[in-house]
Amino acid sequence: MRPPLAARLSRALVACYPPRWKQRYREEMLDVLDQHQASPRTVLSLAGGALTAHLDPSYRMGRPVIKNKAARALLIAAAGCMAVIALVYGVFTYTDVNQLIGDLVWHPGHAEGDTALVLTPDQRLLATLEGGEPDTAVVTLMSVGPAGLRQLSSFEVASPWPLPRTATWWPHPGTAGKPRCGTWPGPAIRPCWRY
Amino acid sequence: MHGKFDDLGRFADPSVLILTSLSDGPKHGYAIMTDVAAFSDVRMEPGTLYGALSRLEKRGWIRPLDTDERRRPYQITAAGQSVLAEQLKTMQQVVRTAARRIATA
Repeated sequence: MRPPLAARLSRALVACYPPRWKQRYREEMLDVLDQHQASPRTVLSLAGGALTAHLDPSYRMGRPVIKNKAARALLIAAAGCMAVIALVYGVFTYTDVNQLIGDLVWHPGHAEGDTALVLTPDQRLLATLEGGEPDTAVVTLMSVGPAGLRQLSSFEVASPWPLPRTATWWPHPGTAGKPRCGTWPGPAIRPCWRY
Repeated sequence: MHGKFDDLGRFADPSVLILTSLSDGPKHGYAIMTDVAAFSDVRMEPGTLYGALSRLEKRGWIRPLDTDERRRPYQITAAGQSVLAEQLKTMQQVVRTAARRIATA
């Protein structure tokens, strides 16, 4: 999970705590989050905390809409299960793209033109490179899931392409009709298919 | 092994760490997290920290002090010191027993 996404989710989860809890702890928690580097563990911890706080009678306000205790408990349990499933799905879907890009293994694509396909070792992220003018190309990042491919972003790249600084590799259009890779920063370029 | 900490459930262990951290003076949330990481190598997350803090406060084992802007320091109470001492005694007993058994194994 990218840190900014984890940070945004963490702050959103603080808003999910019961009102009485927020009156008492919200500002302190946000202050802690401002100083803390959020991670998937932070998100899970806050999701669990919010759920636990909702189950704590001392933080509930007003009269419950559903008066039957068993029905209320069942509803809370179902909501909790759905929240956990959604969260786990989210965590696994939004895996750290930078890390995935860092692990890219290139395969030669079409025989003609500067075209390449790249699939991460865990097969969850696919990037395509389509050649254009020398030193420019269009890269498309797609997530690979049971429902098929979903486009995450598409952008034109030059040399070096505008990847986050944590990325180690980037595709570089070759000069002989074949894609090449290089390390950044640094001038080293080598054929992409040498893996 | 938790004794009085039993009904804190998953917040029992973090509570021991928080009380230990507050034993040498009041601290706010983030200071507790960094102190706990320094002396125990446990990276406590904010959800766990505040879950434990609220329970400790309800039991009267810590008390909140006046806020310094958004930061609110917490102080261990006499009752908190007492349950921590009791808990540490139990843990020391476990450590001594384990060490003795490992040595003779």
